[in-house]
Amino acid sequence: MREFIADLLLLACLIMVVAAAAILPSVAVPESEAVYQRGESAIPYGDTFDVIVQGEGVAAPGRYTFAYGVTYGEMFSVMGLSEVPDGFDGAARVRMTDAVLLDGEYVIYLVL
Amino acid sequence: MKRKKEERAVRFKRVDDHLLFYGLRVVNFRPFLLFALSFAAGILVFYLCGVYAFLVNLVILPAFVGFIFIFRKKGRRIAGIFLACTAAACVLFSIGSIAFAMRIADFEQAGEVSGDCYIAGVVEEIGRTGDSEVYTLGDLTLVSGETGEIVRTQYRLRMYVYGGGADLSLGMRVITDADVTTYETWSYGRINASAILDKVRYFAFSQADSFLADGQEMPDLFGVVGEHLRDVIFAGMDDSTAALTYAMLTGNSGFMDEDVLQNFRYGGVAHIFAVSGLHIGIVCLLLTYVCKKLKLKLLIRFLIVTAGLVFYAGVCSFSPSSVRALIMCEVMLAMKYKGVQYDRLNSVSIASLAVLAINPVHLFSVGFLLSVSASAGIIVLGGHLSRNLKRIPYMPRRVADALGTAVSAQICTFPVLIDSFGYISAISFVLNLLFIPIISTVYAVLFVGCVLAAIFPFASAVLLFLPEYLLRIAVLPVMMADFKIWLISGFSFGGCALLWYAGIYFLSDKINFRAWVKAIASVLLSAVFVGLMFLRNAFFGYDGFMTVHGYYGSNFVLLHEGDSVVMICLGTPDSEHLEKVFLQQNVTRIDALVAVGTASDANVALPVVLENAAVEKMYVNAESGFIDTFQTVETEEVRGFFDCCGTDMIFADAETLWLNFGGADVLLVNNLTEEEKNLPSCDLLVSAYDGEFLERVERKQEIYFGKADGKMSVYEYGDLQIGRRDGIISVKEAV
Repeated sequence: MREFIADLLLLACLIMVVAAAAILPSVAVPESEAVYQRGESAIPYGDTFDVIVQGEGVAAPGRYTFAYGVTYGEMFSVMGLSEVPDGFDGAARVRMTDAVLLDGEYVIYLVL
Repeated sequence: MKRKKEERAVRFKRVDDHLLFYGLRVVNFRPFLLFALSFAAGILVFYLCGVYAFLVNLVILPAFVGFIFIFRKKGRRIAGIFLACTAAACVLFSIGSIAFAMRIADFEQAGEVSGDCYIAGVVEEIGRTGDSEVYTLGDLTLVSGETGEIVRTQYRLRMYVYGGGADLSLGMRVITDADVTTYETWSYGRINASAILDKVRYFAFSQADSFLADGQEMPDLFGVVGEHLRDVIFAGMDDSTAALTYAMLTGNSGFMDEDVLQNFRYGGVAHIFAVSGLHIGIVCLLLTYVCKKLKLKLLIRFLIVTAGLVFYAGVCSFSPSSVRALIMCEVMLAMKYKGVQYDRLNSVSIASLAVLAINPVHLFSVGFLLSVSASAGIIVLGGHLSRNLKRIPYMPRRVADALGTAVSAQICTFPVLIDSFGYISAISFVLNLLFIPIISTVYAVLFVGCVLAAIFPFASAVLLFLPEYLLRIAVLPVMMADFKIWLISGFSFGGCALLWYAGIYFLSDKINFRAWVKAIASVLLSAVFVGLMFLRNAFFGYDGFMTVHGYYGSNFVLLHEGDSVVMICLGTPDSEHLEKVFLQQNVTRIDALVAVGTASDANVALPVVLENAAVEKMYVNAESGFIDTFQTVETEEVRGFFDCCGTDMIFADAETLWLNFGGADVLLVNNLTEEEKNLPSCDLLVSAYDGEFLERVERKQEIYFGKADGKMSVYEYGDLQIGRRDGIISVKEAV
């Protein structure tokens, strides 16, 4: 029993020494917020783009909205063209090459 | 008769007869290990959860109930020990949390200043980087040029002086003015441990001729000795060998050539420049030898060796590795002096607890983590591995010991190295096995030579001749070889490191489970570990992703589409930052480099990128006035839309790039000036500029590279990962 109490006193002294070493050097009102910051967010995006098409060869000129990834063949088909005009690959994805900035948005502008 | 036989059978029952484990218990209780882990856990949980960390005590408190069970079943003394240790663990956990919270609060209380300031302070430390001198000023007075606010603080300022020739000395009181920036507690996704530990709250850049001397204070004794040692070493050796010697003796590698130091890092042997167990152990041996030769009494010997080691650790600025090694050495000496059995695991626990008590922020210091993981790894795993290796027929004992030590240190430092530096050397194990025994001998000769040279500086050239010669031969293979090709990189551990260390401890001989129990548990643990690592590191399930990286002006985006990697540079990247990111991301080739910035930014960016990866092609804005002088890389000046590895891009203005990220509109801005035309709207804005001209840009989400209060930034969260899938852009921290 005596040994046990002596061990307990030694343990208490050790804890007090650790507490003194850890706390006394910088006595400041402790922070309460966690230091670790976690950043995460998710936003929806409009997976579409607009095409303005004009010209004599176009049956239905005007402004169209297509989903990203549509091919030239599919686009011209929607516009009422019977075949893909020269200079365009029907199987290729529509690119922004002919786009112009209109009201803060890049819109593909085609004159066929 | 039958009853007596049964009694005899019970009395002589085998001790190791349990189904699951050998011996009397599963693990030998080590109280100091429990205390050190509790203290560290308190720091870590507060770091993650803030004040809610104290709720963990509610989880531990039910364990007190266990003592009642033990009290009834096993006896009062064991119950009492159980209760005492549980209470001690709770208390130490709480002390760790409180101490950490107070350190952070103390650091943040020191006044925040920015902009042009009048600075007065005392030179407390002198160092060097690759191209500048570094002076650390203490006893600081700052006067803000804008507000006139006066800040007097015991925190320090680090002054980087380019051009050389400032010639400031330790203890000199100086006056200057410079553009001062305040270190934050948290930046770029991690705690600023080195700034908090060094008590450096501010930094500034200056010219050599901008200082006025205003008196001389008595410098720090350890600093004076360190400076004298440096002068003597550089006077007696050629500069490159002197820099190596000074780094090995004091842990200050600031005078070494950066490329040389980096090659040591790539080889996995840069730890010889961190004063730790190897150095302290050799110095202890030398001092003990001298004391024995002088036939000093045991107590006097103990005091002299202690004083010598403490003084040496002071000259090494009491770095965490030197303090850890010092305490372990002292515990061992004290145990020897007292005639008590020395337990190494308890010893490293005491040392770790002492270092964390001195400053809890050490838990986030790479030096401390490497030091403790290596030494604890050698203690926990080294002996077990060595004993198993000795069973191999014809295996020499010394080779088995060396192999066991090298492998265990390698295994246990693996997660820390990968997460801190982004790579680990595959050849490190072999180099450490061959190189460290040689360098240990050379270090002993160096130490003796340098101590004598410090006492007799007039004879330094003679006294340092042999040590210089030996050191040059010893490091020649490391200096000449290129170890970069041996690097393993491209993934990180994060929280899975805890599982890694738990597995190592479980498999060591410190846990007495039977082999079949360990085998089954290892398989299960490995499966869980591999699964978690895969989830952490594989960025799957996204149609395309990009990573945003920044570090004090070195800003760039890596766009991954299919197999191609496009790098979009905003301004000028920093070579070290780039190298680290490329290693972490496993980038060796850039299919296209898009320079968003001025012509001069593009001219600087390409060579920096080429130092770290091959570049197929570079795109620059035709209106920037870029002059193509690069022969090895195809450069295209573009106007309007261009196809960059399947992605449509356009320079919306001088230092602005718009791109279509699989249907999502992304705008990257390096800088905006008043004359800008209308800019397109976007789903995501990524900007190095955070000024008023950005207000007219419509966007759904914004990410900034620099500090931007209340907004998502790389400065706040570290490198970011952006993935797109099913019409959603997800932004989270990069691993």
